Parts: sequence; C-alpha cells; structure tokens
Amino acid sequence: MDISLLKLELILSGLIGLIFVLDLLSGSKKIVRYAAVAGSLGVFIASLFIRQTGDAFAGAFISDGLSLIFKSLFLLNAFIVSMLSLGFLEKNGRYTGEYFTLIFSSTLGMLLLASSGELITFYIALELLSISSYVLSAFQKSEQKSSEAGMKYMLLGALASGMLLFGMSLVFGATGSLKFSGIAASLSSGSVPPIAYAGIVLIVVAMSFKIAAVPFHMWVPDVYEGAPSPVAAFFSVGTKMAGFAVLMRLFLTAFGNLRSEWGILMAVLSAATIIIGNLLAIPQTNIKRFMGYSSIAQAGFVLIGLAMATVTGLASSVFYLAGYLFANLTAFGVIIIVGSRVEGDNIDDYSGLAKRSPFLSLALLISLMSLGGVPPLVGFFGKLYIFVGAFENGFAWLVALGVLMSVVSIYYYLMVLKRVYIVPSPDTSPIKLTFWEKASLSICLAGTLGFGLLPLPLFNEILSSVRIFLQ
Amino acid sequence: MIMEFPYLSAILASSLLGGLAIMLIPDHKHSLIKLVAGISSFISLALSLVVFYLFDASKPGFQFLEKLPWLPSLGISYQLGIDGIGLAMLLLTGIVIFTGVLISAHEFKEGGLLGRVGRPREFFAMLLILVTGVFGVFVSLDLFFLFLFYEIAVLPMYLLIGIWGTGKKEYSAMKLTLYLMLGSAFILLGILALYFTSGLGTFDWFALSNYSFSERFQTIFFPIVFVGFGILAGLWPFHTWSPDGHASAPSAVSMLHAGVLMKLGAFGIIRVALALMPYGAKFWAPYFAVLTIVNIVYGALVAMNQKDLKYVIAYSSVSHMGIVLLGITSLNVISLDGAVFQMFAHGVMTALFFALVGAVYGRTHTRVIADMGGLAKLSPFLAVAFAIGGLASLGLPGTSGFVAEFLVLVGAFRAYPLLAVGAATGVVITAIYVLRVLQKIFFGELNAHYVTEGSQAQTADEFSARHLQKVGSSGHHGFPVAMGDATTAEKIPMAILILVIITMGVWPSLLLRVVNPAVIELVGRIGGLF
Repeated sequence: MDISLLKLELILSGLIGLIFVLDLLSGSKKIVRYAAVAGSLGVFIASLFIRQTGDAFAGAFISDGLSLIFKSLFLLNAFIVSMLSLGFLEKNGRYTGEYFTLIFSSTLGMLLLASSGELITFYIALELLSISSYVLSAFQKSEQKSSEAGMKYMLLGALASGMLLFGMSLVFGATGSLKFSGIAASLSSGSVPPIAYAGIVLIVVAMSFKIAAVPFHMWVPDVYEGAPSPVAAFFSVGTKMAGFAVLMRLFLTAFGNLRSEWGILMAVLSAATIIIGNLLAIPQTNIKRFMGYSSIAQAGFVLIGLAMATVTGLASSVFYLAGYLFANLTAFGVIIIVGSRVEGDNIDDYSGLAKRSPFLSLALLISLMSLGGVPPLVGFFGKLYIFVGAFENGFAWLVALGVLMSVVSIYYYLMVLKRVYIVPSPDTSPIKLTFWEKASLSICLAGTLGFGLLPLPLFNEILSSVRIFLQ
Repeated sequence: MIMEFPYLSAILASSLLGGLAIMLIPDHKHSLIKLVAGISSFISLALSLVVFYLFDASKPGFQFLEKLPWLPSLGISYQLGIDGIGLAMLLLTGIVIFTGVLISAHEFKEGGLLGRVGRPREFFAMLLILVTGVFGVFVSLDLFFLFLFYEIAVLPMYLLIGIWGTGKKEYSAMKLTLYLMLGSAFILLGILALYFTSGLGTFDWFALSNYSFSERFQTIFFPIVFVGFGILAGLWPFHTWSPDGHASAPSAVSMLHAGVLMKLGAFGIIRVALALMPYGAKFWAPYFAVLTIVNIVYGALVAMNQKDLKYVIAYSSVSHMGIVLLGITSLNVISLDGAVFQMFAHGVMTALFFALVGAVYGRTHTRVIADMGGLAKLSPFLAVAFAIGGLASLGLPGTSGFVAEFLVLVGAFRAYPLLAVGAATGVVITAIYVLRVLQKIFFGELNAHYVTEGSQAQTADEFSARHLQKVGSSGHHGFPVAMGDATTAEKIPMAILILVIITMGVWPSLLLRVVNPAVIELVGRIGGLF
C-alpha cells in the first residue's frame, strides 16, 4: 500500500489544520486570510508537480492522469475563490478561520471524489464535500436568504444522498462488489440483473442533483442567490466539476460495458438540461439566479461529452469544464466585486458599468461571451470539441440542439452586456479594485483568452490522460 | 528561397493591432485615437492596393498563400490565400473601412452625431477588430478560420449599434445579432458536416474541394449552408434584421455593414456552398433564384414606400443584394462575374449613400423625407454626390452599377428568362424611388424650416423640439443646426467613393480581369448548369 499517493490530500489536510491553529492562536484575521490564499496557491502549485500514479488501499483510491487534472482544477478553483473571498471576509471577518476550513475541507472532498475507486470512498468523499457546502451556503447566518439557502440545500442534498446510498446498495446486491473494477467484472460476466439497472438509475438521479442536471436542478438558483457570492462561485465550478469527475470514473469503469444503455439516458438528460437551463435564464432579474441557470445549461453541454463515452467525448467534457472554470470564475468575480460596491445583485445594478469600470466590463464581456461559445475564447473550443465528439458518434440531433441553444444563450448574455455597455446609469462614480480582485480576475481572464488562442497543449494533455484512463 | 512578404497577414495585423493599440490609449486623447484608427485603416487599404497590383491575373487559382499549422490534431491550419473574387472583396473592404473611419472621425467632433455619445476609444477599437474579421473571411482558406473570422466580424456589431446607434437601437442591435448568430449556427453545422463526412480530418479548403461529397449529402447540406450565409446576405425572407439594423446604426457602421458585411454572406455562399457542394448548387439554384427575385422586387417596392431616408437606403440594399444572389444562383460565368462586380459596386455605392445620409441628418436633424427639400441650394456637394450614388444605384451606364446589373441580367436571362424579366422590373422601381428621393430632398423648393429657422442658425434645442416628435427618436440637444455644404473632412471620403464608382463604371475590366478567371474556375467546378 502506497500512502505517498495521497500526498496532495495530506498537504491539504495540513493546510486545514494550519488555518485552524492560526485562527485560534493569532489575534489577527488578516494573517489567517493571507495564510489561506498563500496556502491554497502552494497546494495548487504542488498539484502541478506531483504526478505520481497508482492505486492505494486495494483500489479504493486511484491516482491517474485524469484524477490529477481534476485535482489541479479543484485546487485552482479553491485558490481563486480564496482570493475573491477576501473582500467578503473583511466585512464579515468574525468566522474567517471557519470559512477557509470549510472551503478547504470541501475541496478535500473533491480531491478524494476524483480518486475514489470504490463506492464507500465515493460516498464518504461526497458527504465531506456536501456537508461543508451546506454550512458554507448558510454562512451569513444573520441573512434570512442565506439560512434558507443552506436549509434548502441540505434537505435536498440529504434526499439525494439517500437515493445514492439506495442505488449503491442495489448495485452491491446485484454484483457483490463495492470496487468499481469488481462491479465491472461482475457486470461483464453473464446477464445483467435488472436490479442493477435500478441501482444505476438511482445513482444517476442522485448525481444529477450534484451536477444540477434537469430535472434535479431546482435548488441551484435558490442556493446561488442566497449563499454569499464567493461561495456561490465556489459551488458553481467546484461542486459541479467534482460531480462530473466521479461520474466519469464510475460510469466508465464500473458500468463501462452498459454504456449504450446509460449513454442514451445521459443524452436525453443533457438535451433537457440545455433546453431548460437556457430558456429559464432569459427571464431572470437577479444576476446570481441568472448565473445559476446559465451554469445548469453549461452542465448540459458537459453531459453531451459524457454521454458519448468515447475518448474524444470525455476529453472534450474535461476541456469544457476547464474552460468553464476560467470563464465562470471571471463572471462570478465581477459579480462579487460589483455586488460588494452597489449592495445589490440585480441585473439592473449593472447599468452603466462600462463607464464606472472599463476593466470589470471587459472581464464580464469576455467571460459571458466565452460561456456563450464565441470564438476565439476558451468556451468556443469547449463547445467545438463537444460537438465534434457528438458528431462522430452519430448524435447530430444533439449538435443541432446545442448549436441552436447557444444562439439563445448569446441572447441572454447580451441582455446583461446591454446593461453594462448601453444603458446609462445615474451613478457614474468609478469602481476601484483592490490588488487581490485585479489579480484573481487577471488569472481567470488569462485562462479564458490563453486557452482560447492556444487550446492545444491543454487539450492534448487531457486527451492523453483520458486515453490511458479508458484503456 | 526568399520568403515572400506575408501581405495578407499584414493586412489582418494592421487592423487588429490598430484596434488593440487604441484600447491602450487614454480615453480623452481623441485626436490620437482618430489618428491611430486612420493610420491603421490606411495601411490596410494601401496593402490591399499593393496586393491588387501584384496579383497576377493570368495565373489561375489562389495566390499569396500562407500556411501555418495551428491545431494539427483537428486538422486546422492558419491558411490564407486569395483569388480574384476574394481580391475584389479585399479591395472593397479596404476602401470602405478607410472612408468609414474618416467619416466617423468627422462625426466624433464636438456636437457631431457620434460626438454626443462619446467613447471614441471603444468605437474605433471595435470597428477595427470587426474589420479584421471581415478581411479574415475574405482571405481564409481554412473553413475553421473562415468561421472564426466570420464570428469576429458579426459580434462587435451588437455594441456598435447598441451604444452609438439612433432610434430603436437596442431592439435593432439584438435582432441583428440573433439573426446573424442563427445564421452562423447553420454555418457551423454545415462546416462540421463537411469536416466529418469527408473523413479527411481537415478543415483545409483545398482538400475539401477535391473531395466529392455524395449527392444526397449535398442536397441536404447545401440549403443549410446557403441559408446560413444567406441570412447575412439579406436573403428574403431572412432579411428583416437588415433594414432595422442599418437604419439604427451610426453612419460608419451602416457603411461597413451594408457595404461589406452583407458581402460576407454572398462570399461565403460562393466559397463554401457553391465550391464545395456543386451538385447541391445545381439542385437547389432554381428554387433559391425565385427567392432572390422576391428580394429584388419586394425590396424595391418597400423602399419606395419608406418615409425615413435611411430605411429607403436600407431596403434598397435588400433589393441590390437580391441582384447579387440572383447572379450567384444563375450559375454561369457572366452572371457570377456580374454578382461579384455587383458585390463590389453595391458596397462602394451603399457606403457613399450611408455617408451621405449621415451628413444630411447631421444638418437637418431629421431623416423624414417629407420634412426636407431643396437642400441642393445649401449643400451642392452633397446633392451631386447623392445624384451620382443614385444613378449608380439605378444602373446608369458609366457607373459601376450599370456594369454589374447588366452582367447579372444577361447571365440570369440565359438561366431563367422569366425570372430575369421580373428582376428587370425591380431595376425600374429602383429608378422611381431613387429619383423621387433625390428630387424631394435636394431639389424643389427649399423647405420652409431652413429658410426661416435654419438660416438664422438657431440652436438645436428649439429646432429639433418640433422635429423630434416626427422622427420619434431619442433626444439630441445642445448643438447648433449647421446647414451648409460638406466640409473638407466629409468631402474627401465621399470623393474617394465617387471616384471608385466612376472608375469601375468606365473601366470595368480593371476588376473583371481578376474576377473572371476565378469565376471560370468556379463554374468549371460546378460543371455549368446553364
């Protein structure tokens, strides 16, 4: 057994402990904040260099190229969100230590999810992620909306957890194994017992909740609206990505030889998610609800790649998620900054932003256009790769739907940009940015533009990892 | 071997770098911004002229080839090259962007049409980035890059119209953007289908053009690509974005949009739909030809009934683009020569028109034709320029419009005699509305407003208070009604456009000598239907 495979998880656990102790011992919350930012940056950089692969705990923990890519993305998400949280924590500083502890333990859950090779590990990692998330969304406990969001998220999350456990127990009953490889071996020998199908459907339903696929998406707009904006940013990228990471591993290794059955299911789910997410984004007036529906629609596109269950399909899903991380965090960064200055999250609050801060406006323009799939931004290549994968597998109808719905998404993204650039505002006082705000937005913008202009290195890296993963 | 100078990349770079450089200039340095925009667009024009001069018309095929692998795993390479058709469009774009920048620089003056909105930095930056996309489409020989440039050319339009437009600008901008995005969705579908069906794993235009797609494939995907590009070319019944968009846009944007962007659509049809799916073209051309007649006649009839001057010009563009599309769907050498010539001629002519409309509006503060009259007495230069543009529009011999319409009608008559007769009636209707507008605005009695009010140079507040109710547009107060003839800053760009119209009218072979070989090759590929 090779415990050194868990280096990254151990370092992150160390960081959590450090934050806890610092918060306890030092009187200054400032030190805690900077320690968290520096620490998360450190773990992210470490994740780029720790490339050890192999199995630990008899296959319950798997470290391979795919999980390493996901881990780097989760840690990048944690780092950027930490920077974006600084302004929020300066105002609500009392629980700084707790805040970062929760963010990092949730991230730890994500890391373990990406590596889990067995149902129990999968479940425990998911609970670590989820329970931290419930607390985070209710973090502003004096705010009614925040508490409501936490409560709603927890109740629905518990329901999903229950279904997940039920599904797992059915799968275990049908196959007699908890390990993904054992399940796969059992399902490929002889006929598949019907009870296994029931288990798979229950697992799909529970995970649809996590990745916010239709029809299990209702919680998203409420939670995004109620939770503190940095937390919503954290969920919109991290939680979703973690859900996809484990879905890929579970469905392609454990249920790999049933892919023609669940492929159709995922394709239908993705179509419904794209349609509902895009159409419901249109009438929104609150920017965080708006981003909630937009992120639902985005998840639909990732599902297309997953439904293909091929090397190009999976690789394009992962690439799409990476691009989504940069673009969505840019957009949320702007939302966090504007929200803290105007004390509001209505789309109308963005009127005249172009005059108040050209940089924020440009950042929002680039990020929303990337989410809409406009070249030469990273979101375009994500969509292109997804469509290429779907075309290859004969899902031309999904491509047609995706392309048409991208046009719809351009419409509602432009409705926001219309406020920013066209509608004048009575308040023209310039918005000044702090160093951390500029730094985090610049990193995200660099990713959105850089991987748009030169998508190849990242895509090749993902492609080769996926190829090894699917062997 | 000595590396050839990459002229085409240099053209793209000059506008792109110009646009990016402008973003870095502080917002208040207006004259520096204008200077950079002017220099950047002048370099593009100069380089286009150099390419036009160096282009060897005796050689068939593409010249000035450049190729760099970009995404080898998907078979995408940055590949540029130009044939006679692209060359005509390149030259057109160079001319229109340069004159457009001059006109905009003038309108950004204190109290000018654009000056009241301000923000010249964003305006010129977006204009130049947009034009990079336009140049890019005309020179791309990789379908992926063609699509990428196409999107870059389309999207900045939303903000250009939304911010600096007039009237119901937000509605028009959104309508235009959504229509064009829908078109690009069709185009992307078509391009992906070409990519996968060929199985060649490349977006290289040469490779795809050597592959013969099955007849069934071509009959399914030709109309998809044709309509996708056709939306931008103003194909009836997908044209409705164009009058609203052109009427709401600021002058330079209308010039570019009607002058050049609509040609992107027609060019895309030629380069992608016709060249890669010749069987589909033969199969569908007669049906689409009927639509183009509706374009010509319906566009002209609607133009005749407009009260707003800018809408007249906008609908006349729909009608004239119909002639381009008729030339394309007639699928023979003469008609396609005419179509390309009409693309060029209409581009220059409509750019002149929109520049003039902007100049007239800047003086009268109304675009309602009935409220104007006798302007020739106050602005003789504008009247002469409008007359020349109008005569080119109705196809008077000696102007570029005549050559184009004549060629298209001759070619179309060979293909569809009955339809050609219908198209000819459109030309007659054009004469009616052009001459009517010319007479009402510039000739006849000087409108009472200008005698009693305009001559006393009162402020616009009083003057426009009455007019605004009629126009129904948003307010623009606080600048004096400046009647009088065109200033030098206005005369120079207009004179350039007039010069081109007349030169191409009396010496059409200047352009046709490069266009014709490319068209012959294209028709050879189709195998000729008519």
